[in-house]
Amino acid sequence: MTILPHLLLTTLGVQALGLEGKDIVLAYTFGYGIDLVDHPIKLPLYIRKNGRRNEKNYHWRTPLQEPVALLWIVPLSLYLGTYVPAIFFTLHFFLDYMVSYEKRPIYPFSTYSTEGFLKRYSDTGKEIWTCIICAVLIALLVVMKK
Amino acid sequence: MGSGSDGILKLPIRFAHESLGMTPNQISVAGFVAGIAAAITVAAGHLLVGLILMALSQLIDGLDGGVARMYNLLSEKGQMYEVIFDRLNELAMFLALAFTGAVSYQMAVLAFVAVLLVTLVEPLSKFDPGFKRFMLYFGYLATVLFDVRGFQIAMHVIFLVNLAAFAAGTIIVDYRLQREIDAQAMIRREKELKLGMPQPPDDPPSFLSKLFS
Repeated sequence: MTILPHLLLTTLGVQALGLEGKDIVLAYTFGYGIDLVDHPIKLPLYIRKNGRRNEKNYHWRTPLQEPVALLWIVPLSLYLGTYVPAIFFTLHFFLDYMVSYEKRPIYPFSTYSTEGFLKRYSDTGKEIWTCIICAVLIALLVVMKK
Repeated sequence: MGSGSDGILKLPIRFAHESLGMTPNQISVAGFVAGIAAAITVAAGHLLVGLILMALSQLIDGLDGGVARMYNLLSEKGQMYEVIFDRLNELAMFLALAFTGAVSYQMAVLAFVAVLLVTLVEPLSKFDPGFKRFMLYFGYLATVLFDVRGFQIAMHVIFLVNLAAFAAGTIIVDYRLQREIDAQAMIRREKELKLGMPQPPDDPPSFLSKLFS
């Protein structure tokens, strides 16, 4: 999904779990920041192939934001003594798997690919509803805390 | 140890195979036994002797590959045994250090898990930064010279470096696949252009490409 649903879901998670301090940083890093690190990795390849032209369905994703990354994120969570990286990374790829472009969940250990779930609904619709639901829940939490 | 060390270890390699008549697998077993003896020695509280034995085990470990390469005795089974013995030696040494209290059990297990992850991806990525038992020598030096928990620090380094290497390894493999996919697409596009075939229309410019145009 695009930036806004990831940011809203991460914010909702932070509010709901009452995270503080370093946990908030970890939540945003693994809930959203992972996209900022992941996508530029293939930029040199994209430019070599397309120059400045737009290729809509280019496969930007790397294993850094696929479920296979849990193999290193779970030990990292244990090392840091907090479940936050594992939980928020799972939320991140859960949102990505709701939109229908090709994903390789356990590459490089398998070439199995999928287009995710809820394929019969439009991606734009799913994004809009995700944003609305997250925004409403965030507002409710803020009101309840007051 | 890889083929880079074969030159330095030429004499011991010749001695092991020609004088002692040992096969690469027998040398691997000898290195494994020395590694377990090192771990037992460390667990018994004789740290320096244990590390010397560990160094001997790593030296023997460097000979099996050298003998296999020099005498054309390479085999998949032998390479598999080498990896298994190496991992078991590392596990034994990490647990031995935890038993003596030099490192926590949690760090010993986490460091070993990170090493296992690199082992999992290395056949695909061909990327392994090392930083396994070798770090323990630095841990010992730090303990002796600076009076710190050097082995615990070494375990942290082993964990973080190997975890990062695993993540990097998965990205390396994926990057190579994407490069291959793109190369095939570019070859196909050139062929189509040469044949005068109609090209698909460009996708509409994205928000970012409009921003940077």
